[in-house]
Amino acid sequence: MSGEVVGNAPLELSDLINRVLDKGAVIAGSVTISVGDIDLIQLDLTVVLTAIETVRSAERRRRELQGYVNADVPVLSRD
Amino acid sequence: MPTYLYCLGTDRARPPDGLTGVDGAVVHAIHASGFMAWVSDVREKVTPTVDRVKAHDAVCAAAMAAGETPLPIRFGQTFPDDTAVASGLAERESVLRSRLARIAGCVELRLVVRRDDDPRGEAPAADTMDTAGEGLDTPRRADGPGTAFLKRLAGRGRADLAREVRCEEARHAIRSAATSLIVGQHPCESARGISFFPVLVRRADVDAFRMAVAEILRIKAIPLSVLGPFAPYSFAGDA
Repeated sequence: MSGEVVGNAPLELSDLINRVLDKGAVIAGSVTISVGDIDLIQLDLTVVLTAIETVRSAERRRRELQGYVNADVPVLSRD
Repeated sequence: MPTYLYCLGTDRARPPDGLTGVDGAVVHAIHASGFMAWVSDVREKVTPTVDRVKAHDAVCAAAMAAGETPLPIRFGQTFPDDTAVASGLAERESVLRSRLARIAGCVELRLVVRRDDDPRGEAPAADTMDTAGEGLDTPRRADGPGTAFLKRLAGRGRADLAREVRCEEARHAIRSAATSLIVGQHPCESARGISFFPVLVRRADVDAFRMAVAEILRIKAIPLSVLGPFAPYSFAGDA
């Protein structure tokens, strides 16, 4: 296939992490946010992820309406 | 001991003997509220590591190979015990059942554009060159470290946006050319250095879809990778 990357481990790993960490059904449970070995926050996974899904759905709808993302990016001035 | 949940389905498919999941624990099945959930025992905390993420995905892939398309569960969901899993399934039975119906008989394919595929990449683009022929993104000898940093940042931002635009172009082209083969599709997303969009396709149509995509990519010359088939993670949630 044109452009097909076969056996591209970094690409597949990035996609795997995006898919398994960011997607999938949420049933219940909780997650602890830690820094080092110190537990900082205990979060209700359902509540937090539902909120994130809501934001993402809104963003998807916005982008669908917009069509393409704006490619006109500012270029740094030399001044 | 806490229970870790991988996926669930409505058929009676059970994990194959010896299948292991996160941290090498043996996967077993729980039958509750008409669902068959694939789970394993774990220690209390399941922090994400590459090996654990791979193990989670491997169990979902095994479930897909064993029977109907399962509803994949997001990484990291643990319950106090098997009974708590059963309670969780009972509480959300109707919504889970509708999500399973949405993905029934289908798999997820993911079409991915990498940063490395982008010809603008980290290098200066022609339209950002000044009249003296020096790229604005290329640190000059006179540039201080702050200016050089900002130029690199700008170049990276342009590369990311160009990759997103290319991903959207590919998505629209594929949606137009292969509509009859696509059960579901989400807009492009960008994360961790790649842009991608997921497509839900009937199992029987995977080869036909791949061929259709190959033809579109040949005509459009879009560098894209087709990954999968996977359990439909992107279509298992609230989208």
